[in-house]
Amino acid sequence: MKPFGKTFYLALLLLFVFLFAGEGITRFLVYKGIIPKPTIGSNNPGLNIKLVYLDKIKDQTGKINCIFLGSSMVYNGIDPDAFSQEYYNISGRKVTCFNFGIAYLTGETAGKLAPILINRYQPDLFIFGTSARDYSEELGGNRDLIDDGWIKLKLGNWNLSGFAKENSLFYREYLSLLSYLNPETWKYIQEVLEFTTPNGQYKKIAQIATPIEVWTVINEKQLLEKDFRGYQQVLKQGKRNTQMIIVEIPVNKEYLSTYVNHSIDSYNNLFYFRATAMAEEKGIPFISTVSNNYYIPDDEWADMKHLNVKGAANFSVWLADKIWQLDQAGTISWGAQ
Amino acid sequence: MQIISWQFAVFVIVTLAVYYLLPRKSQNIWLLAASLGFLLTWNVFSVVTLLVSISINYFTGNRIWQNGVKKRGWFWFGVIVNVATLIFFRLETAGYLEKAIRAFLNLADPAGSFELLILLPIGFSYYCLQAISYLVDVAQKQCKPAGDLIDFALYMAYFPRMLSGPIERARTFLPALQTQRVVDNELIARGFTRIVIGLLRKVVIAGILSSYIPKDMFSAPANYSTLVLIFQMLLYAFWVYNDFAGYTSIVRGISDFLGIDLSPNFETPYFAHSFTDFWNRWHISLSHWLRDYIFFPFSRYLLRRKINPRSILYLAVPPLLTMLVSGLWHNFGAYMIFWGLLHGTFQSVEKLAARGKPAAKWEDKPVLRKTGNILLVFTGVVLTWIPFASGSLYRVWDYVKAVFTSTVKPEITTLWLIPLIAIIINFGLDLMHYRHNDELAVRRLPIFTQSALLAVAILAILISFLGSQTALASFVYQGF
Repeated sequence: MKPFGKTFYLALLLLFVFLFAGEGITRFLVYKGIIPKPTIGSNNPGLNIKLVYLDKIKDQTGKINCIFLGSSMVYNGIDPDAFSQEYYNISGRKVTCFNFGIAYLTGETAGKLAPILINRYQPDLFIFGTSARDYSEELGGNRDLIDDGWIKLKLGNWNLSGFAKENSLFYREYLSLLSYLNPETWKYIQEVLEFTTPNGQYKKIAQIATPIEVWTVINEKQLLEKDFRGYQQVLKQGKRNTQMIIVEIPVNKEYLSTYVNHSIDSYNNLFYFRATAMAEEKGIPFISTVSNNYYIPDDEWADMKHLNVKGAANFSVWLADKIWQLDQAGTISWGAQ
Repeated sequence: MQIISWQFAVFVIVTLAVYYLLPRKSQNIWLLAASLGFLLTWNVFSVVTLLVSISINYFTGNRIWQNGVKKRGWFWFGVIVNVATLIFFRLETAGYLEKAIRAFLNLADPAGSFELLILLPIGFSYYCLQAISYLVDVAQKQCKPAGDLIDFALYMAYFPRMLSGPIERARTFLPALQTQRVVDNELIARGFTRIVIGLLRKVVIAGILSSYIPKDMFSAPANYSTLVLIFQMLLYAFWVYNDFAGYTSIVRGISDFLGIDLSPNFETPYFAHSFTDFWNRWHISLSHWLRDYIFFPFSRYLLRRKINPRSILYLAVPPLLTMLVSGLWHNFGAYMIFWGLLHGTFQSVEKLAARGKPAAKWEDKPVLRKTGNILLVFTGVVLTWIPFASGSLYRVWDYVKAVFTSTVKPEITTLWLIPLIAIIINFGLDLMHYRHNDELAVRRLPIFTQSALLAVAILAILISFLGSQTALASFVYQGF
């Protein structure tokens, strides 16, 4: 057998050569536009795509004024363009907004994402659109997002995976290749790309007439404390330069009566009163749709809990008016235009 | 503490650092302390069980030696205690014990009234076999009883092989503990290469394959097309092999750094040209244990009973019995008994078919015949993985039925490329091993090629670690 020392050191040297060559070639190809710049490579393709879009807007406009975070209810139900237009109409202020709705997002994951988005983009306004589903076992998903290395790194927990995702295009290209080779993931990515507007809204025009009985009823036991802790984390992110606002995202009135434990009282007692009290405790405005009697006609719903394009536009206009009222009351301080 | 974890890496580095500083005698004490510490990270119950087992077997071994060959009372006492304890834990983990107690106490309530919380102690089914082999070897004067309790305890508790073997023999392992260990450049080279190959198998190959085996593969086989079901079975065959061979290679590599050679467990099993040959290549330390303590004694017993060595009884029953015991060792479920009997049947049929025919040399056979034999055995082995993996006989039936009756349209996607690449890497590793009859055949290559392959392997391991969304830490054979 040959002496091993030489083999070992040569292997280490070659390892670094491979790593640097891979990184160098990837960066060159991306710089020349031969291959697209890879996304951040978290385990959630929706999140990756939204970050790319958000970065692009920031590069173009120099500033993101407001970010909407939430589940698919926000993803479908907020039209940032309609919001900005209405805000301009009533205040004369131009604001750039982005819809960061992620399908299946829960309170727990929102608690992790909110500080990352605020630190990265420093918006004037951060609007968390929430509903009882964000705190439920049954309707929540994507919970493994909190285990993602990049998310952990951004929250201050250094790890190699997160470091590589943050700094290595070579590694991110490899992750993109894996996504490409996985037909299910790739199909999902294609759908997100096709139906997500550059400002983050999901605009698939579909009317799903699913009977009310089919919609999941959140059971009292399904409401999770960890999601309320996540909500608490979101509330804590209200900082000097970023005003936090909570918005109750509406569900269809017919569904509201069964949504939580088959009664509106349960909805109020288990979710609404608790969420408003927590926001109040932190001095954060809570804009309610139910108590403001915000009416949504049937033709504005995609299904029982998702607004369609028209509904999203009208709701965003209504929301802009509500936020203007807060602006008038001196709650919001927009940065320089 | 899982073997694939940074905690274990730190544990090994600290153990090695102290180990190299100590004189030989103290090295064993340190290794024993480290081994018990390692076990303690799993649970206290496992440590207590191990210590009780060490005490009983050490004491029994000495009594057997003192009493001589004529008096076999202590020998049978030791064997029965070990076997009975293994059966007890197997019955408990299979749930039979709890069922029996419930029936005895006439407990109607299926849950809540009580729950047996006895776990299978970590590594018990492996060191229990080591204890039996020790007692047999001492009784047969093939080795002296361990004079030093520390050495014997280390033979039983040695941490690199604690979780899933290899199952060592006292006659080879104890002398290695009693001599000065020299960890030279060659041993370090071997150890390092073994660890890299092991990680490549476990983290890259098995890691990829496991993520492509759906969880409902056996519970809902009707959801898949025939082609996909067959492909998934192939993936399973390569996954279970690389998972276990990867583990063995890692722990053997670690043991090389300690200057202690652990037995090989795998010799390119999927290149086996007969089912008997397969068992000389797969989980070798277990199959050789079964051969020496079940197959040979039973065959000798039949000969003593004047059974014709060319009779069906002599040729068919010992393999069936041996493989039945092998199945029971894995688990007391009916599906594992079926798995064992299936392997036993294959071996029996093979022996009966070869009866009276002159044994042709494997090397002299034409290439096509050799390839045919290898493929036939591989197909048979893949079939036996169905009961092994399914967890119940009903599921075996559902799976086989789905293979023949599925109406789902087969979908060939790019997704299949990744596991195929993993299988090709496995094939490359095995082919080198097979051709050179050397698991470290990579070390025969020119230095630059060797270094380049090593660098690529480390890169692949690193990337797999980083990108893995699946739990890589545990090994399939830890469950036994």
